[in-house]
Amino acid sequence: MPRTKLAATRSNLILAKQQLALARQGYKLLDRKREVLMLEIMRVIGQAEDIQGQTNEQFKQAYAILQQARAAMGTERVMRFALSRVSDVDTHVTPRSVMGVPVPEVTIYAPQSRLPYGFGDTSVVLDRAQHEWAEVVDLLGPLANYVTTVWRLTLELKRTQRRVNALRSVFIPAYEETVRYIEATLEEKDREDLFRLKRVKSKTATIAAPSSS
Amino acid sequence: MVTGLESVRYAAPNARIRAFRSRLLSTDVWRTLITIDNLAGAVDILQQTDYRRELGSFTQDSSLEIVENRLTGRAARNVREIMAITSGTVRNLFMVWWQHYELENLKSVFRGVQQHLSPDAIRRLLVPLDGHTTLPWDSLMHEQSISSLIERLDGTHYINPLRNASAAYQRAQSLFPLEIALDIRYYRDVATAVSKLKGEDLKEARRVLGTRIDILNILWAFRHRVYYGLSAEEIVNYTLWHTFRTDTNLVREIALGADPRDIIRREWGDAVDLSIVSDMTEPIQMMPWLEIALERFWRKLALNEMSGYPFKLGAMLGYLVLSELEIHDLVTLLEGKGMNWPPERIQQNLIWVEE
Repeated sequence: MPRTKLAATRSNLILAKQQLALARQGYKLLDRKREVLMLEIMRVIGQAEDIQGQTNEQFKQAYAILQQARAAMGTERVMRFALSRVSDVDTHVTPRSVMGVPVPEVTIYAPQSRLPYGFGDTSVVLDRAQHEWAEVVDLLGPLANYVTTVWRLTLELKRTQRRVNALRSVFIPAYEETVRYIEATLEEKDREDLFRLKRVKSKTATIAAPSSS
Repeated sequence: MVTGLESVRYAAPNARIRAFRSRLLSTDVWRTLITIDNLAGAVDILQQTDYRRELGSFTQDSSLEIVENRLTGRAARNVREIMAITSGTVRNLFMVWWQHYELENLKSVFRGVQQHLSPDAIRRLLVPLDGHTTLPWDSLMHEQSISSLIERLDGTHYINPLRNASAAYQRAQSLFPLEIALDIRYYRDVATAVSKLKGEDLKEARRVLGTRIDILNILWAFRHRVYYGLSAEEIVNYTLWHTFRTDTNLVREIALGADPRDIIRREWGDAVDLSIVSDMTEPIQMMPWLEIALERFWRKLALNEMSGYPFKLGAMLGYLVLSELEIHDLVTLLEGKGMNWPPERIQQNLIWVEE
């Protein structure tokens, strides 16, 4: 494992140890965040799957009824009546936070009055088609909420996982190696100094001995 | 009791009706149309019938919408043809019937103006009426707002219901109050035109058109309740107060939650075949099939009018109902073939049933 390029000094040893402690603390925190994100995703994904399933079913049903309306009235007349829609659907997006991750809260306001056309030349099945499509619109808000939440949380999980991996496999081993290296180097230096001191001491003692005799 | 005078009055029209009737598709043609594999095959068969003009040079890539528009135009033309061979109050009745198509176009103009479509785009939405209309369509299509469009209709018989409903339109910003006001006015006009007839004509018109208005009123009341959740008072406001078999009490009963099948059985007994909805419990699912059951009942009434003594108004009304429902069924058939529906599904959605 490559170590960081720090000179083997005592102050760098202190610095490396501090960095190592910080990396270990960060790793613990991020690992915990990763676990919580995972749990949150599992929770939301279940709800997202439910609502996605409901939406798919509702879409299928709405398309089938629309086909029936086309058959009962003709595509041309259905298109003519589609022009009498009451108003556009209002969509409001308010941000909220899940585990520090900003996710949107989508609210869809369908028109209050859904009576768009006179009944004189329309088929009942057109009402049913309108009813079914209104149900689809009602489901789109919650679906957008859940899908976006899952998507954003997954991105955050990926980012957190990358950080956890980086800390575990790169930073922490590198700082451990650095600390080990600096410690070893400093120990070696200490031993050299001790040896040198002993040599100096024995030399001094040898020089002092004849002069005293 | 049919008088000799009535026989004479309907002798010439009857000959024409017999000729017109021969244009209706035979049972064999219907059978082949339903079972044939694809849209191209169905179009080939129809091009050998009286509908060749409406189909034009239709190919697999052509748009069905154009054909459907032409078919609706043909339904309007059928009424004009009958009008041309009648006179007096009977002619007036057919005139009112024909105004249904004019009304459909007027509603399209309202929608186009509300959506700020160009006059050309609005023109494409209109049913071809072969110039038999007194409304200034070009000026109507060039209007910029609904209120100016309403004022442009000053002097026509549409103005009163529109003016009365215009405040409701301003409040809701929805065309519904205007369209329902026009519909109510239209069906009241039909009822008035029927009531001006006398003797057997009156009885026959009541049987055919009166039943139609009853059916529509009952369906409207249920539609308001089932799909739009309106209150009893609103439903009474948006339906016809008195038709031949319905009144506000019946409408109120529907609004308060009556079962559609109970109401229909009470009004027409076993004459309406409700087997198509016998397994259904939810009104939301039941209503489209109930509509088909009622349309089939109306078709049966029209067939009855056409059988037996031929020199009568009922024969003309019967022919028009059959031709209108045949056009409806052709649209269903062509759309069904276009969507690759199996023959059983197409048959389920047709008003036509093999006798």
